[in-house]
Amino acid sequence: MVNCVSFSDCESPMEISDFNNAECNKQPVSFPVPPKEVADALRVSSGLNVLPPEQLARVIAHAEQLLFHPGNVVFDAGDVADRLFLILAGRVEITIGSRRNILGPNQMFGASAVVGHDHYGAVARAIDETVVLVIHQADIKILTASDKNLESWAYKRLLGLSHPEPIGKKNSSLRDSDWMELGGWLLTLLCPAVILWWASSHDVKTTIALFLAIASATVLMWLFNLVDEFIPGVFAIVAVMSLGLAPPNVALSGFMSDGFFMAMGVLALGVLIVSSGLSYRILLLLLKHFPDGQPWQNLGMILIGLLLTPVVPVTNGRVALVKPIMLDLIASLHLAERGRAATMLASSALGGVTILSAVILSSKSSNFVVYGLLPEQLRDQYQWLGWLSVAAVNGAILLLCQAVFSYIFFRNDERPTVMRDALEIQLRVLGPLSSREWGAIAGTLIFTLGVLTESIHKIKTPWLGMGLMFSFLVLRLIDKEEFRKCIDWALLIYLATLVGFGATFSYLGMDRWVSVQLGLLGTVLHDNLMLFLFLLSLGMTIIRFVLPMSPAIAIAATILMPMAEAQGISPWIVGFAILTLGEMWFFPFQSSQYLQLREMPDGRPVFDEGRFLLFNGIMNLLKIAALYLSIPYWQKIGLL
Amino acid sequence: MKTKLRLWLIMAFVVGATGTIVLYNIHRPRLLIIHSSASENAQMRPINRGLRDVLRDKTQFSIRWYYTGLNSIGSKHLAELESVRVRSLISAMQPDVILAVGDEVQEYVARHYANDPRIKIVYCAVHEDVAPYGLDHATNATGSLMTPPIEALTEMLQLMGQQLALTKPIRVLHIGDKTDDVKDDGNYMARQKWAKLRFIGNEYVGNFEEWKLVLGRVEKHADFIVTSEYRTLARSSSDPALVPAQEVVDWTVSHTPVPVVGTRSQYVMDGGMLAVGASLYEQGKEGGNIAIRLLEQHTSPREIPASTSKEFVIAANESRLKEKNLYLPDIYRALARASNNYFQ
Repeated sequence: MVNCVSFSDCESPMEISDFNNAECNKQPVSFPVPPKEVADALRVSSGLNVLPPEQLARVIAHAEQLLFHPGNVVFDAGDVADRLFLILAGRVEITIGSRRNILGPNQMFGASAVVGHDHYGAVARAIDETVVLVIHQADIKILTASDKNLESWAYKRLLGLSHPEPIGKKNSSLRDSDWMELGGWLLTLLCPAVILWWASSHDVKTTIALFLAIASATVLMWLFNLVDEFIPGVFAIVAVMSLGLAPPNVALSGFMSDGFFMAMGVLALGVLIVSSGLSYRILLLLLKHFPDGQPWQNLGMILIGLLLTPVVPVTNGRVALVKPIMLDLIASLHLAERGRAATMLASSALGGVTILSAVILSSKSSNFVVYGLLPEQLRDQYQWLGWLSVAAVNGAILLLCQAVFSYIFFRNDERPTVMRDALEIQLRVLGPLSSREWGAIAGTLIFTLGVLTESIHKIKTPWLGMGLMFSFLVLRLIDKEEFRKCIDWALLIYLATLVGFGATFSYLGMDRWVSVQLGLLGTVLHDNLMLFLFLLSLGMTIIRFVLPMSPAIAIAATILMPMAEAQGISPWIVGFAILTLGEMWFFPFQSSQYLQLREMPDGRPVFDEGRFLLFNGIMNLLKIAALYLSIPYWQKIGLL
Repeated sequence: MKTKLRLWLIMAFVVGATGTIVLYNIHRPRLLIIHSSASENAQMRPINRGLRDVLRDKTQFSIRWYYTGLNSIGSKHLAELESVRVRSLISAMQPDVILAVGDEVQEYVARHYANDPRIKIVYCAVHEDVAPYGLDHATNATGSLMTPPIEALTEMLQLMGQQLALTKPIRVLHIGDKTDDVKDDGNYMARQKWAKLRFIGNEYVGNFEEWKLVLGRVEKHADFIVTSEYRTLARSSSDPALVPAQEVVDWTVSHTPVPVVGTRSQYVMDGGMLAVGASLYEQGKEGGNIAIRLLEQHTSPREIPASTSKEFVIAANESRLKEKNLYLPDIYRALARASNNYFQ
């Protein structure tokens, strides 16, 4: 049962210390918020909605509803952190130093109580007549013991990773996205039906019509971001298999592919490197040992991203790792907010984790999709090291461009120095290397050596990765729970289904059909690669305005790579160009990584967004230029 | 409101997709391929290759493969039980077309559906005739019959005769076990014209002792022996245990003074010298093509006359040939190699 207490009879604004004041608690009033609305708020609240309903139901029995008048303080900085709050009605202003954030219904605050801080670091004050649901310390412990999601939410909130945008803006954007979603579902429903109806009157083979209907629904789900990225792929494969459009060895070929197992092995290595704390230790060591001066600090930031690129095969995962470091660095160096130095550091942070994404095979799922679409004989050739060696020149050009152009573009007079004492303390807190960290170091060394010496031991990279994963499991460096939760199974399914979808596309002869339809493009590809790359750049830029990066790359690769093979051009070059160009983005909505980096508690990025985007635009042009500049190298090694 | 609308749209999509899939599958033409063998063994592989080659892009059909093992079930009772199992499957699946591969499937399965208006039957890899199974006049059955390639066999034996410097008309004797297949082949051979050769008759034997006896005195009567099947030979009149095919062939090759040529490529795989047989690949391909016509064009089986094998395969063992002072011209050797039937 929910205890409802009103403070309407208190004359002065309430502070948290007053909650236990008998004077104020003695006259409870009727229920200020109906139970249904409380239940709805619990179900949609971003911190609580992931918890098991039975746990929530159990805990809610001890929760209280409190009413605050405008201007009342819910808690002050320095108050004992022993309660978690969920806003049921009204608004609350959270103030941390000079930063201000306004929260509204269904949003939670008081994350310090969840992560075990002794005191609150912020001030929470009611703006309107506000009703909050209060969850007490004992219940918080029950919730965090049964599920780590609440704790994870709290850490993100404290790190500023999941702060909502200001209420007015959020509500309006929610409305927009709601309508977009409804429109998306409507199209997903209607488009396949229209295709089937059209095909029935145009003498199109039934199997082709069905595949087109499936493909349209899949692409629309991606286009409108209706579900998680991997789900449309699952739909496509389930539909293909249920309709018998392709045999299992074709439709499910992604689950048997080298890329699938290579990704699984690398993910396991990444899990160990991150969860053991090794990656964080390396970040601190790099910052500590790099010389003072902006070029070095930025180089360090880029290097951190580069080190994470091969072992964390999800770009957003890498951004999540470097963002706190970037924020810490901006704060500890006292860089001017939204100044050029802070913007350069932000650019280096994002550049470091993304710039070699196409160059290093294990850096993102799209690379594995392109790898899976390569002919079998080329897959052997372009395993991890082979891929790197042919893409290296392109990567080197991009790195050089990032370094030189960011130095010129963000030139400034700030003279920041690293707070080495703080880093020293952080490293001492970490203590000596743990056994898991040693395991991660050994795993990385073995993997690297194994890849470099493949010509001697003849063990292919996927099986090297899987062997390492087996070793981590048998040595209990990764336990069953971690294996279940930390390996990105959704990414693996996404990767496997995309490869299977591409194989089905070819199996049904759609690649040949598309080649015929795009005959002119095939001729251009054969006769004039320079012009083809220009057209591809143009096409990918347009596609990226309507499709997220991964689906855009997958669709373009599925269509164009077989065409390249048919035209006698290396499909790897076309696949690599698609990967590089698919990463181009101009507006924030096109890049989830940028949005993640930008997201701040007060909704305003710590860097100059306009300058950042302008620099990003320049880098996009340089990406195209790097492709052209790589052509002589590819010609020299006989790829062209 | 919007949440409900969204939910309704998602539900409509899921129900629509599921409904489309179910409806499509319900109306998909169904083909059941029933094999006489228990699995895809060496003998069946060429047939399956032919079937898969023509059915590969026919994803609009719902195709199911079933291996009965009827050709290796020793007891009639067990064969009847298997027959019941297959018929139960047919009753559940309700295929539009049954593609029955091999004689045993006709005997134990297809014959039960002769003149059934709901099911069309395509037979293939059947020796000589389907009359014993009641399918010759059935309105719902057609297919492809497998007969020994007499012309090719005649040419080959004439060539061998020249190599052995035989001057008189070459005398050919057919020997095999007492199965219906062998008798069908024997009858077929007896009816054919053998050009300059003289077919002197059939010898059907029940056990290995008889086999040895016949082959022991054959030199006086025949210049070449042609053999079709020998897998059901008992050890002796008193011992019903079956003699392994390799043992039969080993003995035959080493004890028979005249060259022995098989009419099935399996003979060479069992250790024989040379075989000239009907192409099983062609049987599979032909059977598959007829099934496609029936399923796609809704043609009546009566409109498609039964075909007989036109293509042949050669299987050869070079060392065995040398033992008899024979050799295979390059063109035949290439043919044998092309079908992976050339052994050194």
